[in-house]
Amino acid sequence: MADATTHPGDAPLLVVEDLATHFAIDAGLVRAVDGVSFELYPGQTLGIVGESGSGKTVLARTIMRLNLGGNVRTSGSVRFSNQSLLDLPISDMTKIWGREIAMVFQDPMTSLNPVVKIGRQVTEHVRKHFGISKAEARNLAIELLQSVRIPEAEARFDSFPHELSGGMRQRVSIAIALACNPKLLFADEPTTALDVTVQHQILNLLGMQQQERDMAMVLVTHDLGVVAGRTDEIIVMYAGKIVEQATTSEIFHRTSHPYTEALLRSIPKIDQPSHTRLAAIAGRPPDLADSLEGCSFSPRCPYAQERCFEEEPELEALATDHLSACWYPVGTPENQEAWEKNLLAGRPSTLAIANGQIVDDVSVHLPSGTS
Amino acid sequence: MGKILAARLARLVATLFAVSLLTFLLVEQLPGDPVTALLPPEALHDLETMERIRTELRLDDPALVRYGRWVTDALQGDLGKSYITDQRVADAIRDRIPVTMELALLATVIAAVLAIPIGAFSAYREGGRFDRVMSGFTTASLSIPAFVAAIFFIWLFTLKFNWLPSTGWNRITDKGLLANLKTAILPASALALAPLAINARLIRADMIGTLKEDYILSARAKGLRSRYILMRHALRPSSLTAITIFGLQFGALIGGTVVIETIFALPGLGTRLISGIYQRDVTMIQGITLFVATVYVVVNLLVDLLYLLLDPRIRRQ
Repeated sequence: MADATTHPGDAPLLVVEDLATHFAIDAGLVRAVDGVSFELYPGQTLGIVGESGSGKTVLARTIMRLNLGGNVRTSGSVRFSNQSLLDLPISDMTKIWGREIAMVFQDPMTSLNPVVKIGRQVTEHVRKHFGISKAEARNLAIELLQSVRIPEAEARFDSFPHELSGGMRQRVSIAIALACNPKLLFADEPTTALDVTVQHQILNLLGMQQQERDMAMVLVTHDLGVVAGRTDEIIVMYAGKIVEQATTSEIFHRTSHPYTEALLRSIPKIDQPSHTRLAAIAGRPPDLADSLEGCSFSPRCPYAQERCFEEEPELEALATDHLSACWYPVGTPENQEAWEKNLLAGRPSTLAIANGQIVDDVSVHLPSGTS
Repeated sequence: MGKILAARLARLVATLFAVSLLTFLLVEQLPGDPVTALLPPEALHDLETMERIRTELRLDDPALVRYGRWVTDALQGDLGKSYITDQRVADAIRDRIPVTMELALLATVIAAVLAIPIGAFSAYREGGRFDRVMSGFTTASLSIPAFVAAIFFIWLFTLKFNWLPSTGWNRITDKGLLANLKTAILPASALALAPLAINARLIRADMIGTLKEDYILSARAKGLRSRYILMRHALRPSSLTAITIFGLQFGALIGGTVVIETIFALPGLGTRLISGIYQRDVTMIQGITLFVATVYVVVNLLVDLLYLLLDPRIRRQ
């Protein structure tokens, strides 16, 4: 399958092709990641967006080959710097982990070892990968802590994680990830566990470091607001599959997949009056152990027609930089028709959105301070 | 920090007070009379002599008065004299404690040093072959009483291979370390078997929990080697429970070597306590019991203090 964006003259850093990660459990086969393909170029930022359970974290971990357990089955291919990661023995992966590909985890409260000093945690892998001395490691650690804007970096070298705030700890995690100057950084929900006020600082820090180091980054998040303006390209995942893939501005300005649209609708907007009801997505993500017929979003989709329940749409190019998997893409006359049909038929997930809009309209006219 | 220490010390004193009172009252309840145990059978009709001895030993005083006297003396380091042999109890303990202390220490060290890698690697490859073999081994070790293991060791290492002596004790001061270890290793191993199994299981269970922590995954994502992650990142957070158990086991062994000392005919505290009980040697029983209890609670206190070293988070509270 063709990549959605074109990059003349540059070799891709990461090529993922038809990647699938299935977990064999008692209830059946869980298709956590099911046929995902994309390319990532050096220095580029990719956003992977989806709800909990959409498979985005498993996708990131499959690419990195991290901790998936014994009941996992992986197929497809992952090429990173011309190495086939899925075929490498784990002993070779330990040479890539931390050095070429690094990861920032979601929760800085649990991803740092509580009984190991910050300084050691920031540099132990640098010492392992590059064999630098203790004194060099100390200098490097202080330099790194300064570069992620940790005040009194020198004093922090001997601190333990519990002595730092959540935001500071995430800065430490970022320093750890950056320590070996990796070519690719996975940031798995790096701001989800943090205060809103800190989220922006951390995202800005990540962006700044990425530019300075000319590093490619995969930003995994459930929040389209997080990736807005920070990524070159966005992949929207649902039930283990890519449902929409496009450049960031395309995703926001020419949203095609109903699921992407629903995600966008659920972001609170600053220009909405307070107490506006958030547009939640009706229903819940499908149980991945059940084999589904048709489009996996169809049960929750406001536009779903008969065809959606029977036939699964392929990921197809709408434009050169835009792939989408939908029979009735948003913004097309067919989509408008489907919407009206569902509204007339009284389809609950359609009515929910229609009603939500009515509630919003009413709340605009309420005098402020009530409700 | 100072507050914690003061609270622990207060608890230690309270525990020792309770132990001393209980020991005293229990021994008091023993059937038989120390005076009758003291005298040759033919003198038992001589009521006058018996009365005289009773007065001499001040056994006529009410129990609480005698308890008060005993505790006051004990606080000054005087545990009294044996009624039977006239030996000072403190001297008897000083004479016997090196054997028991060495056995307990050796057994604790064997149990700890072997349990750490066994537990750690069982956890690392949970359900793997090593884990299953070790699970069988620990089950067996736990179900075999120490004295049966002791007899098996004697059969194997003394009768079969004739490598090690089955009885007696070489003092380090007399014969040197090697000769000493030759007599100590069998009884210490027999003592270590059950604690070893408990430790290995405990460390395994704890490590399995720790290995699921996010910081282990992030350590892997840094490209650190498995063994380094196990020892550096997983073992220390898991070691708190282990350290507690090691301490408790050592404390328990000080008073728990009785059977093994008897089997191997070792001149330890346990055999001395047993002979004291046979002879109704009241002061000896009380003295040794109080001593063992003291060691136990002091070891416990040290274990608590070790926590502060191992976990920086406790230090702050």
